[in-house]
Amino acid sequence: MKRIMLAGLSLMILSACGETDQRLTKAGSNDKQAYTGANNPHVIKGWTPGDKASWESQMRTRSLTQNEYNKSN
Amino acid sequence: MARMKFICDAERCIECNGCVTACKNEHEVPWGVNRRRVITINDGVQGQEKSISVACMHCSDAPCMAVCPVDCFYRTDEGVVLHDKDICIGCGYCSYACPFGAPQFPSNGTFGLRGKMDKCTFCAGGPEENGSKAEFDKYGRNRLSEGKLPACAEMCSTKALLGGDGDMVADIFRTRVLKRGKGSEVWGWGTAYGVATNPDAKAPAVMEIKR
Repeated sequence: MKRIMLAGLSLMILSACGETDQRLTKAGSNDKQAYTGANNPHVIKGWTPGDKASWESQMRTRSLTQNEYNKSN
Repeated sequence: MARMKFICDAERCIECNGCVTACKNEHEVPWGVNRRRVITINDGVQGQEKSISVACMHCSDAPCMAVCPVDCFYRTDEGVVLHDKDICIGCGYCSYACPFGAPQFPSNGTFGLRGKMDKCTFCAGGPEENGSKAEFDKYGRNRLSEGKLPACAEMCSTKALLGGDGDMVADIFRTRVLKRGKGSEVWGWGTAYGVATNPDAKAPAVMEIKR
């Protein structure tokens, strides 16, 4: 009797270990990277959506427009 | 590519609120929610009053991510801290943890119930399809995937607010500081991205700079 109770208790305690993840999805797991481009007509020209190197180059070029010393000097 | 960062140059900010307006317009942010705002520091102190534009700084070790009980935050490869509104429960813990007061909570409904958290996305949208209507409705425009930088930084009339690749914006700011010989303090930079590895490092004296 004691053994059966002990086995039952162990089963009850261990049942928590088998619980599955109840989250809907892991946050951001389905977020596509920015370099893949947007599905709208606002994507500007000068780079190729899907090409990471091209996107990085575009970001650098765009960042440089914030440096007005490039324009004045 | 380095990670995305914001820098606000307090020497240049004229408190025009152009960044705030650009952000609200670009993302159609509802009433009561300000993803970006301009604050005044040393208010009333003669000669020391400065204005800075503040929003989510997309911290290196983001405290909001650490305290979120439902793990709704994630970081993109570019270092942008985003969140999933389908997971957020609007508890407000992130609001207490954030040193910049970035998380915002819309008050919707008859009793002004607190909604899901909303914050600056560095114009990188959210987990929905890039550039889709669903993404726009929840998170605003995804300018990064359109090949653009954040609207607030690109709209800034005095270029006080710089946004983009961390190395590049730091270079732009460094050039300015060297040219003008003052105003090297970057408010919030250390809090968001950590302090310099060598705390004794000093900028070269202004006298040595070639003009």
